[in-house]
Amino acid sequence: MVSLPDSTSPSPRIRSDGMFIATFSVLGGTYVLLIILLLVGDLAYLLRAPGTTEAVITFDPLGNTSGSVEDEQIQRQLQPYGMSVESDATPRIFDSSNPKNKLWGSPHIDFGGPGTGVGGKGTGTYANDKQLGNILTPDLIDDSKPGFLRFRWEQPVAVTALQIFANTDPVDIRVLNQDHLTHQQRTASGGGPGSVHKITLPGHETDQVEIFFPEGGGLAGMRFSWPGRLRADWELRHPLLSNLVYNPVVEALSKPEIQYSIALSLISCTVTAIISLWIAVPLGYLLSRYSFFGKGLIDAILDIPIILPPLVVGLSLLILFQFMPVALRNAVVYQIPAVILAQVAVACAFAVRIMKAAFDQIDPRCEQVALTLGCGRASAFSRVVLPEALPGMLTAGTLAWARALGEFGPLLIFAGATRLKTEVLSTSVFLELSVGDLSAAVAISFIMIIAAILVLVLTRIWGTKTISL
Amino acid sequence: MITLDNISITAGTFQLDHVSLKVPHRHYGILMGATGTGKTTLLEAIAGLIPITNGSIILGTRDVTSFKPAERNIGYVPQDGALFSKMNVRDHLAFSLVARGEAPVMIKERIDELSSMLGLCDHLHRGIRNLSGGEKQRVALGRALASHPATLLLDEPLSALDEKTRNQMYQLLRNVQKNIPVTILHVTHHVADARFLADTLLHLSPTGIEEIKSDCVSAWMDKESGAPPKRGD
Repeated sequence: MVSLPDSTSPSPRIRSDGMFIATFSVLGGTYVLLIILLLVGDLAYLLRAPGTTEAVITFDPLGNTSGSVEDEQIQRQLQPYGMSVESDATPRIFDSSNPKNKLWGSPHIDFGGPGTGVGGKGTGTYANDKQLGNILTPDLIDDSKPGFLRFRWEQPVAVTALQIFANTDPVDIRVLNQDHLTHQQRTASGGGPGSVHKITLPGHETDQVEIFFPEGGGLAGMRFSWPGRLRADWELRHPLLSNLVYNPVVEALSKPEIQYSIALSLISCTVTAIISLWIAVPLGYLLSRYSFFGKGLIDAILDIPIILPPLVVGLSLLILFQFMPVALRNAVVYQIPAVILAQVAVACAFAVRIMKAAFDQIDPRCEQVALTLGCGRASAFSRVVLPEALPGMLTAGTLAWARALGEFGPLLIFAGATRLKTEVLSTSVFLELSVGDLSAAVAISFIMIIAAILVLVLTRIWGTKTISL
Repeated sequence: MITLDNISITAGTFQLDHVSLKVPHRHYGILMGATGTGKTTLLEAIAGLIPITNGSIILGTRDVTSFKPAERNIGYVPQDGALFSKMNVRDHLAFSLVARGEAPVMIKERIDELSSMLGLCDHLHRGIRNLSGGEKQRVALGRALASHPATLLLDEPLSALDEKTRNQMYQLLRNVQKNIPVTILHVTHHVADARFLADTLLHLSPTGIEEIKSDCVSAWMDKESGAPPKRGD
């Protein structure tokens, strides 16, 4: 009989009609599905993409016994990168520092640019003093015979540089792009046997690179970025554990900028939530309990931060501080206080809305009774209203916190996006995206999603059951 | 004694003009009236919760017109009890004593006294949510009586109770009035409340308050309750 706030009376059940319910479920369920898919997509991306690593392959780890390194060992070296090599004969390793052929050897240090100079042992003009180490050749048997090397990758990579060792004629490089266009590139004519060419490639996504040697030659090194990393033995045995230990989230967490941005986010959001409550409790109470001149106007003004485009909020804050004393402006704009101020400017409006709704649900009679029972105005508020408003305060605080966490537009304009200074998590996502690190951006987004879900769960458990945004 | 001397109340669009009433010391006053005549407003004015624009309110021998609610020495039970949802029964009974800074020993003594009088001994630790309607009303009553008020204001305390509970409450209210030196003003629109409880019966209508003299109470009640339609009509 006593209608108390928060008491959830069971709503009457309405007889369901299959067709009717199904139509409504499809219409509304699509959106729910979209939300779930968004989250699942992020998670799937994180599990699938362990980040991009830069790989530099030289064939030096295979030892320097020239000519004796066979195909099988070469493939074993390439296999962790998800790549393989084939040639018109049998790919072999040639040790340039210890050449046994009559023509080849390590080129001279003067080979600064591509394709100039003559190297090689025996007949070479210059001394063999540039250490190229091992070189992969299509076939070692006849060093002037034409041949090719063909590299294939299981997953697309971006090859950015090749170090080619060639004879006199230019070497052709063919990169088969993922978009089925072929990128052709040719080295300059070699100055003689054993010339070195450093080739820079545009780094298109590819899964196949072919190198044609018109009169013999080989590959001294290759650089590419690939969607993976080398795994230790234990990781190959326990792939799940390995994914838990090494994933973009852990990687992001280990960066000092991200650690700073997490710390700043946690602190600024908490301060924002406290300030918002500090304002929202009295303001919400006044709006809920009293009618006064200009109440409608104040109510409308409180909607402004909610409906205003976020960038405009930031810009307005920036403009406002142009009128402030220089010392104050310098202390706030583009500094940490600006982060908090920008967050409060928006989050507080939500907190006020919720607190007003929370106070609306508290029977004013409870306070009246408290007044007759010997309480003053303030003590009736603190002893009767506040305890009843506690779930509402929790809801308002957590939602203000979550709003502050997602705040971006005003922050970018008013506080800037300086690493290790005013960088919060939403800024981090933006910064990582702008340098093209998608998986780091998703990883930080994921950290924010987890934080937001925690807040949501907290609110659902301890917050008011009857108000939500 | 409760005396209202020619008071006027303006609350929003509602207006109550030049109303006077008198409930003698330790009488059980019942104020009846149709919905919307301002019974609750009048009670709130006596409690000091809304200001009056004219006249004076005298409780006992004190003119409390300008007093704050806390200073009027009243107990107030609003329409639906208005219990504090976050407190248990014991907290309710202790509330006014704690608010007035009584010693813990005194408070405990008073809680024991009240809970045995109101039959709440076994419920002291219980929360408010799962009390029955009658129990809630007894808690609200206990909360109002805890600090020994000289005046008790009841706003439709029995309106939502079932027949059996209502009869038990009649008995309880009678006992309260008999054992405690308190003057009661009970607002209701149930004729039965008046029949079982009233020492002084007052009727509020748009024209003012008239006291129904004890010799014509029965006739007035019969007139007020009207005759129910006969079955089959």
